[in-house]
Amino acid sequence: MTARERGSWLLFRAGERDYALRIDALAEIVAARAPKLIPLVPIEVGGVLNCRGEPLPVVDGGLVLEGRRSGSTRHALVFEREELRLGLLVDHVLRIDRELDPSRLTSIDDPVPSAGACEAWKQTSLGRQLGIVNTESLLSRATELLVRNGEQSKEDPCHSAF
Amino acid sequence: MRLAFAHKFALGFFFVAALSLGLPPLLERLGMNETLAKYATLCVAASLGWLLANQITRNVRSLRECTDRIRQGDLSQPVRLSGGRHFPDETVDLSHSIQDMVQSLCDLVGHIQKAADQVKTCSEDLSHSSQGVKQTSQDISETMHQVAVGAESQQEDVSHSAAHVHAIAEAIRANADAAREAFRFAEDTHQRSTVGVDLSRLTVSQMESLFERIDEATNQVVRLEEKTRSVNRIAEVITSIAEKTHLLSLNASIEAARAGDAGRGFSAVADEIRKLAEGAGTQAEQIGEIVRQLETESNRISTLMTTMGEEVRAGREDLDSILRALEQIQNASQEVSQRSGAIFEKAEDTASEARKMAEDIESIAEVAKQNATATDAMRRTLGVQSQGMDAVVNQAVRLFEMSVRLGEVARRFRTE
Repeated sequence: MTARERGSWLLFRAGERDYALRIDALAEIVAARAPKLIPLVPIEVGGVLNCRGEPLPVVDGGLVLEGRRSGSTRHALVFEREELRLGLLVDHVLRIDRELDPSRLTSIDDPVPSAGACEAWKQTSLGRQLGIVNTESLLSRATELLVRNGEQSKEDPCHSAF
Repeated sequence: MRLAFAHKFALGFFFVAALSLGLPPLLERLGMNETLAKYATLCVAASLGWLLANQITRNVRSLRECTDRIRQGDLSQPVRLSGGRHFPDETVDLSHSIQDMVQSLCDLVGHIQKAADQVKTCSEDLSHSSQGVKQTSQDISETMHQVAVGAESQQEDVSHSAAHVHAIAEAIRANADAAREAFRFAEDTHQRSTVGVDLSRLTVSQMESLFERIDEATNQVVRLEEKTRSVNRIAEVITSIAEKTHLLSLNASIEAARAGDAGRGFSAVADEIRKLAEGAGTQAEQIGEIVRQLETESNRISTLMTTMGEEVRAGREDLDSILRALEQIQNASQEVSQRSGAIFEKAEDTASEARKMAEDIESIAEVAKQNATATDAMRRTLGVQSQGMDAVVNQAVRLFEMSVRLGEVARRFRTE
């Protein structure tokens, strides 16, 4: 991995496992209050947060990364791509690790079908599983979840905010 | 002219002698030989002597016949003399005497007959009466036997009653003793209940002070709980601030990373802020943990104080109930003591009356025993009397037989 790749990583926990995400892929981290429901969108998928007066659509991180809804979430990772501003609900943010080098960690098999959201699975020195998140795959999958649920509600005048 | 019997014999003898002396010469003068004259004189003298004797003894024969009749029991014939009217002698006197005797004998026989009849009648009556008396005596004896049996039974019953009355008297005395003990116990209970009431009142007073202190402590615990919650809220705020600061530091790091090299200094500041936030967060967590522990303890203490307060209130209510109950017990024990005293006195009186009754019953038993003994003695006496009556009856029968025989003997004398 290049020096750029050995940059700062954000470690967070979603579901039952820890994940690592490049910090520069994030816009910010906000506290995840109870998201507001989106009509016709199941609450298990996500909702809308009030982020400084602006609506922020959020998706459940455990559902995106592991296919299984997370427990209680404390933080939302905010991603910005052009006009897309999307939040990922995670259990909580662990820390920023500037010394993390995924290439030096032991690779392991994909323990969960993350549908490509994780580009690799590593085992830390403490024996914990660590998923290296692919940001683009993550956003793609999250968007897919929201759109799929949004398409289902197109016939309803009260459609999703997306 | 009265001429005695001996004189008559003397005259007759003299006449015969004179004849005997004078007749032979006469006859010899008449030409009769001497021997023939003697024999003729003898015959004449004998004949004359026999005639004179016969004349002289004619009354004697009459009297003999009369006495023979009398001997044969014929008293109806008067005494008649065939001679001696002109020259009465002792035979006439004797006839008179015999006549008087016959008369007296007739009277006597009459009386004897009457007496025999009366005796017969009386003996019959006596026999009947004796039979009746004997029967009555037997009846009385039988009745007395029944009375004796009844008296014995009565005596046994009275003895049993006396034993029962003794037992009752003993039981009453035991009850009197128990009543005495109960009276003493009631007195003791009353005194103890009085002491208990006084102690309970003191305890109630002390409990009330304790209640007040517990209430005060509870209020203090509540205030402490409120302050703890206030501290907890502050700790939560601090934690929230630390968390937000941590987020802020994360976001600062993110911005610094997005800024690239220009954001390196800011990244250091963000790290320091993050560390500061982590430290504050840690302290806030510790404070929160301590506060939670305090809150838990204060909740526990509050719960305990509340429970204690409730228990104390319940205990106070129970204590009030106990005090009321003790007061009721005190009153009841006093009343029981008074009633026990009255019962004890009455029991003593009853025991005394029972003893008297037992003594009376014993006296009655003794009297019954004496009655039974006397009745038995009377029965034996009646038995003896009955035997005596048997003898009387036998004697009456014999008397009747004797009277019959006497009557038969008396009837052998004909008085008419």
